[in-house]
Amino acid sequence: MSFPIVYKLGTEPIIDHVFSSSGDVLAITVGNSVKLYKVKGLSKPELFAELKGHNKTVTSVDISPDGSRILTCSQDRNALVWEMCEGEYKPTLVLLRINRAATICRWSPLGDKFAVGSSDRIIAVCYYEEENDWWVSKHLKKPLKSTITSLYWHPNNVLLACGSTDGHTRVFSTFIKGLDAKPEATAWGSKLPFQTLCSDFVSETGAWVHGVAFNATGEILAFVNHDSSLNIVYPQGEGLPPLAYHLVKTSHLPFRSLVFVNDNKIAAAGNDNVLVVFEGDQNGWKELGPTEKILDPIVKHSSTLRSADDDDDEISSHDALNMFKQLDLRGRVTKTTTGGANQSTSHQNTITSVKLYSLSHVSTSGDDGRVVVYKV
Amino acid sequence: MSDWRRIDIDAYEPDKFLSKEELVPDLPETPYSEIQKVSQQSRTYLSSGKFSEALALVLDTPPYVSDEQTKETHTETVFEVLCSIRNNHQVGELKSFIQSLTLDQQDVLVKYLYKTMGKSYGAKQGGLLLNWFEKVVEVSGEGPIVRYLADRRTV
Repeated sequence: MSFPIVYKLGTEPIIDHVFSSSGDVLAITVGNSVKLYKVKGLSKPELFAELKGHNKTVTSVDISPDGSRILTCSQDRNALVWEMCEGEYKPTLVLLRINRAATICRWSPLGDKFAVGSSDRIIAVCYYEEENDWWVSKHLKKPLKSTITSLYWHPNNVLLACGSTDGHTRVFSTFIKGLDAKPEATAWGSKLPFQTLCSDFVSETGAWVHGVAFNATGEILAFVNHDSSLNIVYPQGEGLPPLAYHLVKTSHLPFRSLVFVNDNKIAAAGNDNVLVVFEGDQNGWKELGPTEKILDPIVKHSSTLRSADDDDDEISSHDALNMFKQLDLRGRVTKTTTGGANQSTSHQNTITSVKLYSLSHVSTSGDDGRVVVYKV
Repeated sequence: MSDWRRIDIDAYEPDKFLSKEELVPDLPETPYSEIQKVSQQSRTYLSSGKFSEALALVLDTPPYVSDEQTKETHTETVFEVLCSIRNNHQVGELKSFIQSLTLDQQDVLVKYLYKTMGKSYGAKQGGLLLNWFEKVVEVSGEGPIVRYLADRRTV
């Protein structure tokens, strides 16, 4: 198979996507619903279910580690847990108790709880209460004072990193008595009652945080914000300043999401429509550059641009935009500009989420309605 | 309820509201006297032909946390340096000045270019500022522009 693999899944923007851990199922957000595709071994993704339960834009989707449950959250202030029941996905409402849009939701590594971030300046940590047969939540409130934009779980199932629009990246404890086993001490702290603020970082610009991520062992934290740079933190221990803090400034447009490929490699992507790879260790990090060439879309690069996507009969949104631009500038539409990609990159618009697909592959989704799997 | 979009919903939860003070960068305040010293020092550099030194000096000392008067004085100092360099060199030579700057200094330069473009004295020298701007972007890409927009440390 040659990479990158490009899945074209319509013209509507995809805010979030997720592959099940086995790689069989791809879930994407489309407007007010979530679409599920079978992808493994197929040349074209095959739609097999659409989850309709929200009445506003779905902002995030996640599949539990064992693949049995799907979690969605939406601007309608609700989160739903979908489970297969008699051949159909049935939703269960989660008691979030928030008054504003839910912005992001993520299952914990064990799949027994999940966190939902919101613009109500609250993170709801949710777990299943057997007596009531209901998903209930506990709120992380202090000292949050702005919208939560991103969440990432530490592998120990207790610590949670969150990024928010006030420029802070924080690490909280979500220890729930009776559910979690007492976690072992990590570099982030040892005593971890619920809502313990373990760490708090602000990058030098103090810009919005768009994405946070731990590495596989949870010993490194990285985040991207709206200043086109990547921050990497190596914690030293409770109450101590970090062992190392690295800031990599780039000349790209802002990054929206990132993921650790391994301890020495990070993939980030955003408004530049391209995946950028960074490499480094505790002594320093540097940008390896974009995985694809960014060519000026105004100059014609016929050989690279006329890619093999002519099998799409449906006119895409950028083709339509191009058509109107042509009409506006020249008063007519030239044949050459319809069909075919507009830009040299696999994504034609902002990349909204980056996830780890396998040990050497990363998947991305974007506002162009595409999901792409890159080899890094 | 036709104007429900205009309701200030934050007013209903005042204790959770993020105040302006909380967004001020956590940096020491720059006193006016320090900026005056920088201004004099940069003039000394300029009069003795040390253009690179003057540029690096004014870009290393932006008053992020201070009163308007101090910020304005420093903006004028930076503007003076930029004019002086341009008036004594060809357009093509600006690039080498920018290349000698650090990434941080380039970011600060873009901040001051935008700020001076909004001033009446800057508007009169629009061409000069655009010369500088073009060369910075050529060297450093779009990063400094994004950082100018996103940075809470305003000049």
